Amino acid sequence: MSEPWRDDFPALADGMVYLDSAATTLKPQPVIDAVRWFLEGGTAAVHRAVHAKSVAATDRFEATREALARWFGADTDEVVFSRGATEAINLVRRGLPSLGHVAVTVMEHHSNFVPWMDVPRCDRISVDTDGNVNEQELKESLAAGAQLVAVTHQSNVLGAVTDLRMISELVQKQNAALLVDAAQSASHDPPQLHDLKLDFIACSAHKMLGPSGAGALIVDRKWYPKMRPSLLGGHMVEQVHLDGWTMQSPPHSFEAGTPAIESVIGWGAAVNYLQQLGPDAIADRLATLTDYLLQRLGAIPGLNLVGPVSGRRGPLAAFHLEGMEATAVARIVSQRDQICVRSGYHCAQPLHEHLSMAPTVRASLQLYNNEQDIDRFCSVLDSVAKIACM
Amino acid sequence: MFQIKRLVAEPLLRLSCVASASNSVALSRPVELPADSSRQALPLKRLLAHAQANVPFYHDRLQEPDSSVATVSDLLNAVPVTTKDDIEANFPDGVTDGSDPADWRMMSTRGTAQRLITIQGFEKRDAVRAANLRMLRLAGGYRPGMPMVEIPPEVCENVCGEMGEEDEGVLSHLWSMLRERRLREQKSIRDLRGLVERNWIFNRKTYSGFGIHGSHPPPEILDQYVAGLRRDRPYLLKALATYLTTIAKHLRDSDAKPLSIPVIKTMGSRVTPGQRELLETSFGGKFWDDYGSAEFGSIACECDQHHGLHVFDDFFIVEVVDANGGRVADGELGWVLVTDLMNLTMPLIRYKIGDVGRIDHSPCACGRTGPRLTVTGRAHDVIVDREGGWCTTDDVVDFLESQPVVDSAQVSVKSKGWYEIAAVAIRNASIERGVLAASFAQWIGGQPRVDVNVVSTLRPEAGGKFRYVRGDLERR
Repeated sequence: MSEPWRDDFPALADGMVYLDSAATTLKPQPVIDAVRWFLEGGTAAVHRAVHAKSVAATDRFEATREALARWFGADTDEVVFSRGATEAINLVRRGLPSLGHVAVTVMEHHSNFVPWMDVPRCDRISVDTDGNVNEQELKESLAAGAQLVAVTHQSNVLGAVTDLRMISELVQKQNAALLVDAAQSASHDPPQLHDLKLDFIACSAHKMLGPSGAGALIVDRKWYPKMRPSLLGGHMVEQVHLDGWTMQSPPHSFEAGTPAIESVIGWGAAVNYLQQLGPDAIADRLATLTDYLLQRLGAIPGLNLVGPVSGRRGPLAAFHLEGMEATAVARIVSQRDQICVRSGYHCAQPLHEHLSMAPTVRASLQLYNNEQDIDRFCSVLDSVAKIACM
Repeated sequence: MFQIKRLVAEPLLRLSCVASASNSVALSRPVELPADSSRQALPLKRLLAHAQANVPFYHDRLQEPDSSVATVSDLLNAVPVTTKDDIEANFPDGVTDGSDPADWRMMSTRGTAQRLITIQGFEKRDAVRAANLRMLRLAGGYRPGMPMVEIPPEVCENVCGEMGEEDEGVLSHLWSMLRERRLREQKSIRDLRGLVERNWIFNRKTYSGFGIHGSHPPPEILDQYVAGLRRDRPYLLKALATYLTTIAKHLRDSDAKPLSIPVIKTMGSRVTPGQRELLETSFGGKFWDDYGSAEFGSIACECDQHHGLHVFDDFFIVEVVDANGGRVADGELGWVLVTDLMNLTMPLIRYKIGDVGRIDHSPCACGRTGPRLTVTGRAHDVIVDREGGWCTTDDVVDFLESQPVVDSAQVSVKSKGWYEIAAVAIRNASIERGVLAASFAQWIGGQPRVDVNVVSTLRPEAGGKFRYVRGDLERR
């Protein structure tokens, strides 16, 4: 399969090479159209009114919930909208305030690391340089009473894909909960809530070709009675009296206030777009491109890749170029040939500390990339490598 | 300790030069060239020939040098202006000369644009060191070993992985080299040389910037800077202009005893003519202006006449040009172009540095005959008034800071005829927004819309520098 979808992404029309999809993805035309529909003619509050505009907006809004549920193998009422993956993770942390012992891996994004640091006991499970989670440490943590394990599905630095089935089995044996940060994998390898026996999945729209400002927590409904809403206010209540209030049923009880309606509607269009192509086809295409990227990068003198070089991995590659600060590399490729890559710690500073790594350059792929993008990137890197001895 | 450093600094500097085959001490002695002399034309011809033959970007851009053309002006007239975009689009292999990269070092700008990265070979780095020594000596009489305090712009407050400089002592670095058996490692030796230069030859201390406090930290924070300066008693204070003026105003407003710092300089930003007196009164010394950039190093500095910046014309050719690249008459405002005679590795020829200013070829009262430059701000900070005239950063800042109760202010051109001002009031006073808006409208002319916001502090840009005017010259 080549790149039949490239023309759907207007941002590429100016000739840039976009290799920063792990940070945020470009938006296809249907998503832009959906957002425009709401902003131009469809503006209305959702859930609140009986007029035609509100009904139409609510239908589209709720259709996103349904599409996400299908995408993650969950039921529609198991999708709680949030402002992003970070807020989704915080919904769990604040929703379960009595948690006394959790375990997180050291390769988590800050959004799945910082929220757990104030739990009385937070075990940091180590990983090796390929991103393999230390199973023994995890077992010991669970045996010591960890109530929840928070783990990324795909490292945004190493590209390593976590063995969720193995972790899920360990977690179930100890009757603990498993939260998966699927921000990196949601667009092409969505973890399945019930199939993998997960408890929570966090994801965000902007990393799934959708607009920013929307995310979701996919929750096994058995957790609803144990969780308390972290935000109180409109929409999440059923009745309000002078001396008290009653709560709506979930997921609405966790969605206080007016949501980012156009973002959620745009996200629905993004999921439909992804569904049309199919996760398997997208994953295959990204695997091919990732192999090509790794092969081309591996041939550049002085370039050291981090993360696994073989086996299953996500569509990204982080690396060091000997003698060059990552920021300088990213700036040069941008200036030279409109190539967008990320540099720094990628919001995963603990991982860099754990592996004693300097900041890295990261190139990440999406379905709109092609081999020519990688060639252009590597061609500039080749010339940058000439000054790598500095 | 200070006296020891004074004694050993000069010998160390010479030793360092000998050890590294550097010519920087000799180069730092100024050479007085008659304007447009053949002595300046020769290195220019060498540069043009080298660039034309070895640097892909200049292959077609430059003519084969004509040996009959003798003047600098004639040689430069045939060369188009080089922009940052040109350099960036060809960096690195297209704009370098194919020499051995082992000798290269990369310099990155930390200005508001935070874009350009230049490469310097050994010869250029030597010249940068020399120009810095010359600037320090000519503009303020600094000698190696004298204590110096720097307050550079804050680089990055985010977790972004920008590595920045590491502050380490000479002896601890040497000890780690011994312990880890890195005595022969080139990078360690280079770092050691840098540390010796920083801590011993220049006897430099660095204070951190204002960080989260923006342009106006609370008085207790400013007291810490003042206490540090009283303790360290630097001969030279070099800081971001915003830091200098804020500390100076704090000294003035708190009725504190003025400091006694003989030489005050700014780094990476401009002190306007109207701010000089304040700095000199509060710091108890003289403000000496100089001009330079990450791409070039020190380009020019003031003499004791304080009447324009003497260009180091054995290192650089500086022109001031109009929008078409034609040289403007002396005294007229235009874009500053710099040709670096010392960087053959990555030649920058008629390079539009992004500043605006004036040039003056008349002899200075100090006796020097080379060109003098007056820089008035960044080109993208220039506001074009309704008659097409330019209001530079100096003009705008001096006007706003002369307004009653305005401590400092930032102006943005939102669109033609629409200005937004963010103003900080002087301590214990309040700004009448309507009065300030009317005053600015009258000053800029026409019947503009002027929105005034009163704020407690101004925020720096991502590079750590403060931008006081967001103009519209470069938008046209």
